[in-house]
Amino acid sequence: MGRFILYSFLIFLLAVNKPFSQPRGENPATEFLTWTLLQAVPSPSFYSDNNGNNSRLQFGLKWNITPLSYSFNTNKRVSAWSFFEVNPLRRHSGSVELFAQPEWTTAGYKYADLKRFSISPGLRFFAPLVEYGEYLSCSLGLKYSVRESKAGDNKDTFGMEFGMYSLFGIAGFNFTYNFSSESRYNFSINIKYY
Amino acid sequence: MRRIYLIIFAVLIFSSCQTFRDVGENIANNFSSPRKVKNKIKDPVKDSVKLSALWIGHATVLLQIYDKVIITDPFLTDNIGVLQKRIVEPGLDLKNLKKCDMILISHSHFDHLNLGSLGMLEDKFPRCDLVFPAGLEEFLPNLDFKLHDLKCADKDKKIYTGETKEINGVKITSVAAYHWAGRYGLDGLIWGYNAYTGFIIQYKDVTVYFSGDTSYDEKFFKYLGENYTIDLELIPIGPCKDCEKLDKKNRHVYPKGSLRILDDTKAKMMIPIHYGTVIELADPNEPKRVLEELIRNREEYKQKVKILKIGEQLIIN
Repeated sequence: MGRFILYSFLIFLLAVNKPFSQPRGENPATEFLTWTLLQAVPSPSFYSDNNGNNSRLQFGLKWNITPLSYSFNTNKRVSAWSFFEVNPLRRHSGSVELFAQPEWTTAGYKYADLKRFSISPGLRFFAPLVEYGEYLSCSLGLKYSVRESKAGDNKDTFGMEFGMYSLFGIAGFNFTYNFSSESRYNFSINIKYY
Repeated sequence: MRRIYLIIFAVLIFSSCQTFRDVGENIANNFSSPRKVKNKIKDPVKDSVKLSALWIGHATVLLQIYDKVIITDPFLTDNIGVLQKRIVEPGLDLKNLKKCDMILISHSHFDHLNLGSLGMLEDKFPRCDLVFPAGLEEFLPNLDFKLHDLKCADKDKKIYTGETKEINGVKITSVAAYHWAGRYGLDGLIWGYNAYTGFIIQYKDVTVYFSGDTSYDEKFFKYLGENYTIDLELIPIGPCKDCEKLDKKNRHVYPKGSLRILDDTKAKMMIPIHYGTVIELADPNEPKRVLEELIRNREEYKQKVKILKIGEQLIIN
């Protein structure tokens, strides 16, 4: 089931060959390049690493890709739909988005029987709190983490996340609760531009 | 020892870097209240007036042309862009504003497209006309206002006017500006989101020019002078660190540049704006000091340049 969702998601990513929905500026190539580079900037994260007897925090990195977003608060002149590149106002003034979250723990888990890399597709809802979400917004999300044990067994799990964002959504924090005892919690400092 | 050198080095770098100083000052400023404006005008909209202008602060001016009330780049909240807090409160209490027909937005920078202020105006005047350069809608949320976009001028091809629309009898023309747009940094600086404009406002026999943010361009301003009889113009004079210079190319015009614009456009009157409200680059009132110095012994300017205090209203009948 987990692999089916993951592969469907990857096929969907490949199928969308036009990564932007907004009207283009003067430099679409430069925009595409800089935007892509900025998406490569990871969000520093901390993962709980435990096996029931021992526990510690493990540092890792997290990326966020948004193949599809629908904003509830756009004006009539623009589309409510965005693909990959999402204007911060559209995202944080109220939206729902599909996301994919590659995650990588830098030194690997010591106690939890998990591989370093995982990917979590999911659905996230944003609500504005101050100034149409540009000054402060929050998010609630549900995700499905595709993970494997060190031996290659399926360790997929569902998780819930909560986030708070400021500075036009560029900076924030994100807390995840996984419905699995292995690496149940993780916390990340969220960095995202468009 | 090495750590001490590093700390000294960091302090030197940060203290000499204007951006860091600005950020520091603005963060500190968030802990103090904006200075009060005494004797705010309680009846900004008059029953019988040909032209009036009330400077609310920064680039926000309440214009009345006969029965039409227009507000430019409204900034009525305490903050712009999260951290930048105003140092003087708005020169108008919104509760005293009984009418607003039109809002002009020149571009999408935080100090000009202030979403909180639009929300405040929307609550009070939901059917107001909102006029902006085409492309700026990218940065507008869902508002009740009637939206009107104007095509921007193509200044690279020396086409200095973009589009004219008549909205409830008021003729609005987008004209060139020399600035940049976007909202979140790279979108304006690299990606080319270029929705920025100046406005010519014409109603009955009155013409007002609101330049938005602009730097100086002789050909363009002479073009305005040759094609429009401007009764009043609202021209930015800051922010500036080297305020004695003419301008900073494609950024802002400085006091000397504003006087050149006044000469070129042959406007009857000019109100300097875009200073004295937020901390940016230097003392917010430095542009005003330089402008006053420049016009001190120049009678031809003394009659035309109207330096208003925040909250002061100029009435022309």
